[in-house]
Amino acid sequence: MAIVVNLDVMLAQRKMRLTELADRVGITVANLSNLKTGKARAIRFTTLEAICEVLECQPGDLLEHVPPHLRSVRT
Amino acid sequence: MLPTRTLRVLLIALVFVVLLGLVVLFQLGDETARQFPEVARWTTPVFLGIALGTVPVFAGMTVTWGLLTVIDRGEAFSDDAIRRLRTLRLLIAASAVWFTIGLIGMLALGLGHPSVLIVWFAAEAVGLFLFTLVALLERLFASGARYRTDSELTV
Repeated sequence: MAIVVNLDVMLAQRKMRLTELADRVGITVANLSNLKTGKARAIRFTTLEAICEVLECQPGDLLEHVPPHLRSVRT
Repeated sequence: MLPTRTLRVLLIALVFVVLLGLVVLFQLGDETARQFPEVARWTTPVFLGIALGTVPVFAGMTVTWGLLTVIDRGEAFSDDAIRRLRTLRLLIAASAVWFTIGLIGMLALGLGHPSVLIVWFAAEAVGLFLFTLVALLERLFASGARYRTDSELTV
């Protein structure tokens, strides 16, 4: 998928653990882990809103469009 | 799980109907052999061929039983259910091919009575109908499984 979730970067910048974010957002760690690892197929606006509120960021900070041909260069 | 219990009862009833059909067919063959001694030597091979043709039918019933168990587990839209439907579809096809080979054999032996053709045609029509129905279910279940995965992976 061309949409990359930068949740790990945002968590690292805020020195926050995934479990803490899951607690504060109110979703399971497994679901949040799916989002972090790029396994998730979709994200609800309510979830995105809750994550943005806790991390004090914009949706654009979390989600990024990276064309497939550039992904291998970045990784 | 009342709905699948009803279906299981119907499935068991169907097993008995097929078995009863085989018994009736055996007696009919016996009667035919007595009335037409010139075809008597073919009644046993034809009966055995038809009996062998019920193997995929019984296998299909076992697969259907397993499918009902999967549905009872709440896993209707899963790869397991789709695989069972595919097996069921292939068993129906195998049965239809077997009876077609049987018909060709009977025609080659000069046993092509119109009633044989009618029975074959009816069996093939039922087979085609079931094949189409199961193929449609397979597609529906595959779509359901995809929606389910999408839903589960929506955060």
